[in-house]
Formats: sequence, C-alpha cells, structure tokens
Amino acid sequence: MLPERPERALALGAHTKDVDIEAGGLLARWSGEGTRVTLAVLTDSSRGTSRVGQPRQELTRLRAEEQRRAAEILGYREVRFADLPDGEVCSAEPWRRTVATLIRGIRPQVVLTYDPWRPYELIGDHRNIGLLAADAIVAARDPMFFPELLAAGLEPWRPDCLLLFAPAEPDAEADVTDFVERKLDAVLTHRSHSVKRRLVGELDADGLAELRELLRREHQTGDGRAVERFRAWWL
Amino acid sequence: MRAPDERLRVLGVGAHPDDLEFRVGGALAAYAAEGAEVTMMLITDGGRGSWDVVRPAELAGRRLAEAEAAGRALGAERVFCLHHRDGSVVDAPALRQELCAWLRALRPNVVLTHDPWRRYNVHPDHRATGWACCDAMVAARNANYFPEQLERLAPWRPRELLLFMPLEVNHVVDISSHLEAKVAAVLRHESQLAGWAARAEPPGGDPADSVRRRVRQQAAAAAEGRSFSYGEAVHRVTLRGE
Repeated sequence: MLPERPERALALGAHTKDVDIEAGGLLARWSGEGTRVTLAVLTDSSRGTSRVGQPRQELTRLRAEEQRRAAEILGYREVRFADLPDGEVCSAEPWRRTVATLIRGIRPQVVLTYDPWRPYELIGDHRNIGLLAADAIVAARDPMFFPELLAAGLEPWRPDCLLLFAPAEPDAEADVTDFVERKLDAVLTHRSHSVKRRLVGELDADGLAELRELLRREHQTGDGRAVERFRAWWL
Repeated sequence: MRAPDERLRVLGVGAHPDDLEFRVGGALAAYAAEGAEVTMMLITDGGRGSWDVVRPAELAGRRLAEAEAAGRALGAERVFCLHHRDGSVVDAPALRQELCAWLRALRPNVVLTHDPWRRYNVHPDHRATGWACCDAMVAARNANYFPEQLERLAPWRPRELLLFMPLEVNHVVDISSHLEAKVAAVLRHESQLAGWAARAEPPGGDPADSVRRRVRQQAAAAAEGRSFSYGEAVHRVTLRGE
C-alpha cells in the first residue's frame, strides 16, 4: 500500500536522473499537494557515460545543472549533492553517516530509493543504495549511532516508510496520470544521460518523440491511467 | 564488431577448480567445438576443498593440474588462476579492479560466471565472485573506471553475460553433443572423488559412476520440455557489446 502523502519526503538517488525516472511522477504529485521533497544525489555522477573523453568534473557540473532544472519542473523543494565517488556506493563510511545525517536533518516521514533486491540490476550503485538507505535509517533512529550527530543537535529520527522504486515485488501503485508528461519533461532534461540506450542530448526531434512515447507507454495501464510502482517497506 | 576471420572469445570465471566444469562444462565445450577461443579463469586455487585436513598448498597444486586437464577435455585453450585464498574471496574494490583488467586484456565476447542473485547460496566465494565479476563488467566498458589501466588496455564491453546456477532461468544451452566432454572434465578432478564418494548413490558405489549419473540427470532435467536431450540452465544478460 502506498503511504499517505507525507509532510516531508527524502528521495535518494545514486546519480542525477535516477529518482526522476523512477519516482518523478509521484514526487511531482506530492510536491504539488504540499509535500516538501528533498532530493539527495549521493555521488558526483561522473562516471556513467557512453561518451569517451569528457572530463569527469565537467560531467559532474553539467549533470548538477540538468538535475536542478529537472527538480524545478517536478517541484522538489531542494536538491543536495553529496559528491561521493560515482560507482562506489556501499554502506561503509562515509556513505552511512551522510545518509543518516540527511535523515536526522530533514526528518522525512517517507524515504525513497532503489529496491536492492531487484534481480539482474547490473549497476552496483543501484543495488547498494537500497541497503545503504536501510542501514542509515537504523543509524538515524538509534541515538547510539554516530554520537557526534547528537552532539551537533541532530536528534534521532525514524521515518515511517522506505518506499522502494524499481521494485522486485511491487505492492504499491501511485496514480500519476496527471503528472506523467511533466515527469517525462524532467527526464528528458538529463541530456548528458542515456535513457533506453539512447544518449538524450544527441536525439533529434523525432528521436525525442519516439523515446517519449516509449517511456509514456511504460506507465500506461489497461484502463487509461498512468502509474508508478513501488514496494512499501514499513518501519 | 569482430572481423570475419576473428574467433569468438569466451571467458569462464569460476570461484574454484571444478565450478565451471560442473555448471557450464558443456557450454564451454560447445563453444570450443564451434571454434571459439575458450579461457577458464579461477579466482581461487581450491586449496581448502577437501573433507580431510591437508596442506592447502599441496592440494592447490594438485587441483590446478586437474583443472588444466579438465580444460583440455573441454577444448579450452587456457586455464589460469588468480590465486585468491580459497574460502576468503571478498567482493571488494581490489577484486573488481583485477577482474576489470582481465576483461580489458582478454576482451571476451561472452562471459560466464556465478549468478550472485541466487538466494540461499551458501558458499561466500560463489557470491563474491559473481558480484565482483558483474561490477567488473560495468567498469571494464567505461573509461572512467581504473583509468590507470588504459595506458596499456582499452575499455571493453562483452556482448553477453551467462550466469550459472541462476535465480531465474531464461536460457538453456544445448549440450547434447558435449555431455561426454563435460563428464570427462568433471572426472579429471580426482582429488574431489573421495568427497563425492561420501555422497555416492548407492552408498559405497563407484563414485565416478555416481558423478556420471548425477551430471547426466541434471543435464536431462535442464533440457526438460526442450527439443534437445541435455542442457545447462543459465540466466542470459544481453549487453550492447562486441
């Protein structure tokens, strides 16, 4: 079951674009209804590209700009960039402290990220960020973890729900019928990324229209609605 | 793209001597029979693979010789070992880096390894090998990973990944013409026969016969409902590579 619209939501992406393409419809809907959505991009997004020779720092800068534009389209209240190394997401330090600090500071009722149990997800960052989120939630809610956070005034905080996108076994559906076009606008803002094996920035108008239609169809149900699917993990 | 006269290159990545033979020996033999250049890479030397307490270095030497003999039975051109400690393979950045370098050096079109998504997989080496190999596939194709390797090696993207003992079977390799080669390769691992004998059916029976029967039964079960008699079940991931 989908959680009720929270006052505050924290969406964790390994890279720019991740959250927008997986949950951008629901987050646009919640944002429009008054939820304060914070997007945290944990890595510097500097590695995943099919283009050879592009300096990594340039990619980081470009992708942060794309993400800010997409966040504006979707209505997120805030975007934070942790700039940890792309391709190395795991639950070790400093990853866990970074996410625990975010959770204690933002105090979200719902945290969103990738389902770590989705089979045959080859990108390790997408597998690992789900377990990192779970581990960091434990550290955020229990005062004995990272005592320096408590000393800095960050009280323990327990979210109600970890809402997993790209789920192995979905059990929640969000109706995004009125938000899917806005979501696709946001996704296609990520011009330095590949979507469905196509580098967005290299597509002409026909290519963009075709990609948009492919993505649109993935959201459609038999009864004319558009949905995003999740696994709700109640805490 | 491969040049018309260039041979297909196939790389099997197994945690221990005998893992590849048991799980994809038939597929490797089929590739070799079709003219592919088959390489078998072992992460560990199998030095702890015994029910008796033995000296690991001695056992390892014996097992690597067995692996080479098994490779010959399958038609593989190369069998080599990275000499990680048996039982202690860790899915860490160092192993990913090492496997990334081998992928870039050997430039395989097809890679076969343990499916790390399989649940209730008790052996840590099998899980760690599968994860490290999948992560290395993602790294090898991208110049932003381990750029120090690019002084001598180029990025490389295989076209296919075959995961054995899979969580979800989506492909069965026809090994009907290669079952005997597979059995022969498995039986080259003579140091393991005593351990297999303990599980022989009937108890006290000839362990080699028991192994032969087991391999045949598994291959027949994998091919059930197919148009061929013997198979090996895998999860096939198609990549955009060469």
